[in-house]
Amino acid sequence: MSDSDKMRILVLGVGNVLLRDEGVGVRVLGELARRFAFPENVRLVDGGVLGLSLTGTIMDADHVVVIDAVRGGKPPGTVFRFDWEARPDHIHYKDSLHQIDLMETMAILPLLGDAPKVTVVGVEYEDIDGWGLYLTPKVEAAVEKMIAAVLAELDALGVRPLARSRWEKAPDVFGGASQGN
Amino acid sequence: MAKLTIDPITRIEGHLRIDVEIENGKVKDAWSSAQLFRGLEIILKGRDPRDAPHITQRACGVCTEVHALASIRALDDAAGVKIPDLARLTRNLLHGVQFIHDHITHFYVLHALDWVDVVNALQADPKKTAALADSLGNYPNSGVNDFRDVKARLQKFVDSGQLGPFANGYWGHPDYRLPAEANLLAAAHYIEWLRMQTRAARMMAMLGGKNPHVQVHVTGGVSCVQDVMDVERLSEFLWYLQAMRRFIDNVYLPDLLAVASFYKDWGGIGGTTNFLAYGNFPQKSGPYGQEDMWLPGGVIFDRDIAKPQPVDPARITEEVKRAWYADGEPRHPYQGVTEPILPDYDYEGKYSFFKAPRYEGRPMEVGPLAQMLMAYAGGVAPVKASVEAVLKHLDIPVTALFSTLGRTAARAIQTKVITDEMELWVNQIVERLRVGDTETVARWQWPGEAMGMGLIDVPRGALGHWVKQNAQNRIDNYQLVVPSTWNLGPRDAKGQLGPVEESLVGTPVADPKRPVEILRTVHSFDPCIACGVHVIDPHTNEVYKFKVL
Repeated sequence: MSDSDKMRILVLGVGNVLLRDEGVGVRVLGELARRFAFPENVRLVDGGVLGLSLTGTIMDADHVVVIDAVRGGKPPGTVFRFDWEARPDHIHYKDSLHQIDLMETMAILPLLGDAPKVTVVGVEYEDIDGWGLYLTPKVEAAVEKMIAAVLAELDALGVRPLARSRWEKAPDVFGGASQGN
Repeated sequence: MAKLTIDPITRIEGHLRIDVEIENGKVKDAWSSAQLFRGLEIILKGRDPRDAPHITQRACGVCTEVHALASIRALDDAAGVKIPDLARLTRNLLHGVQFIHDHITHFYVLHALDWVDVVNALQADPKKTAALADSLGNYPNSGVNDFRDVKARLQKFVDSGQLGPFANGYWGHPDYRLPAEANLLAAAHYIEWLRMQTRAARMMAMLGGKNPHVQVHVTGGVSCVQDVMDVERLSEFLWYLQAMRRFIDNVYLPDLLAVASFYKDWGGIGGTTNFLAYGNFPQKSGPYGQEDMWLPGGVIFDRDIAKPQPVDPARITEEVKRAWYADGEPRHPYQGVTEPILPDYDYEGKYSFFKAPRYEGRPMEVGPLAQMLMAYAGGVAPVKASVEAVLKHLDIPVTALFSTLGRTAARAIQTKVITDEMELWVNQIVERLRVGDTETVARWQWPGEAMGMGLIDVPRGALGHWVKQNAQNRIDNYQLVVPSTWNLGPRDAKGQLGPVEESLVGTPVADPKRPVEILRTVHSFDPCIACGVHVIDPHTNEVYKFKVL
């Protein structure tokens, strides 16, 4: 058993699927779950719009890949990849309605000690104010690139998922985020 | 005369704007404005009533569970069903967990930074901090090395410049009064609670299926049959509950008392006049009013705790004179209408998306203070004992309860008494199982045309759901009157201020550019709605605008 099998990896897609590009993280997560079977040490979680409630889920992992929409001042559909620790100053998280949102939660994790390493795969959004279950065309066009970016991230951690056949049932990644069982 | 706008108020949920007028260093007038329209009532119309608990529960991701409970109680009421004991106890336990999670998170994460200067904690001596911790309570991880470690982590955090939720605080404000060691202790406990709160979430998931948003409330009872009947599951729940009790007795309460002892004058600031509680934790099943609530409901007018009166839901109205809704008479929630108009802020006219709830035409404070006053007046033994112990410890009179300090203390007292009582409820479930009582859902039938109400005290105050369904068993009208509306609602047609507006009048503000005093009182209500501040300087008409933590 190599070390990479033991490392607990969390792939966390976040966002609000009702607000167009806001939901891109959850959308990419769903695609990953549908297409691939991951080893047992990899957990896929739809974090929705939770902040503080995700503390337990995040602290239970050694490495977290967050998938979300970001504001980096680049053209919409631009895909970013950065380490949370060394996040560039010009990249901002979106404002969330919740005052203790995921960004603030992740900011205080180092205070708790042994916080996991976090990398972010993000995409520059175009519209997160309009109502709609569909992504804008430029962000939709970036989904494949984001999936590839997450897979590359996992590959660097020694994780090689198996492609699922079209007939296989994908696991449920929705709900149970803080059940911890 | 300076006008000050805090918009949005942070460290709360949602969008709240507070405006105050300051004269001679004190607040002369105040306006509380909700900046968000939800329209849940509109979403629910025409649906199967059984959708309501799931949809209303999503009103919030923090006070989860409470809307599901109020909603399911309204459905039970409409169907005229009495729920079995096991269901009643399970609902009480889930509701108790919500109080633990909400209240302690409020104290450490949302409220403590109004009293505790985290940046000043970097000046603390870990040795003295450990001695202070020992004198207050008996809790692990409180040695010199532990505090040295926390201080180092905090130092690294502050040096990184990425302050997250500590950004934009008023660190160094002259009215932060704690010694550096107490600030470090509070910061350490803030971190400890962030760890512990994941356990509170787990407790809810154990019996509620998941957290946030429990899934087990069904008309007539609960559906978590396997968990309620599994003694191992109950033992696990009990084990977590013990951990919560240890934290409350050795960390939360001692911290509250230690902080309060430096801010006793806040026992005379931020009070209101009238109080309303619906009661909670039914001791037997039955329709509204016959459930024998362990923490009683009631109404107190003019701070007269000798004469609490029973709540008559028929006397509740909501009016919209100063709110962004089409004008109409004050209405009872059963007849409630929700017709939003375009928001256009007008100090003299309409200025909020909150309606103004009134009881017998008067504004009422709801929440832990109202709930604990009713229990104190009603002679609930553990509440009486705890309230008296806190008053004695701080050497303050009963009248000091009507204040920002009293409100924050009441929240801690309530957390303690509920957590202590929960152990009894777990044992009562075991007793029921022992005698072979395994009923978790009562049989019920669709009532056709019916009305139902679910009135219950929740961590932030009195929560009411009213449902009106038609002969086809579809929702005709659904109204929610939520705690923050009672507390943060606007003026009414008579010009009576809402409770938060009233509580702010008279508050001293040392530095209008850093109005930490305003935040202390607003946060003490644990508002569930976000705020930044524009200060208009009357001499230059200059507007300062900044975000407040």
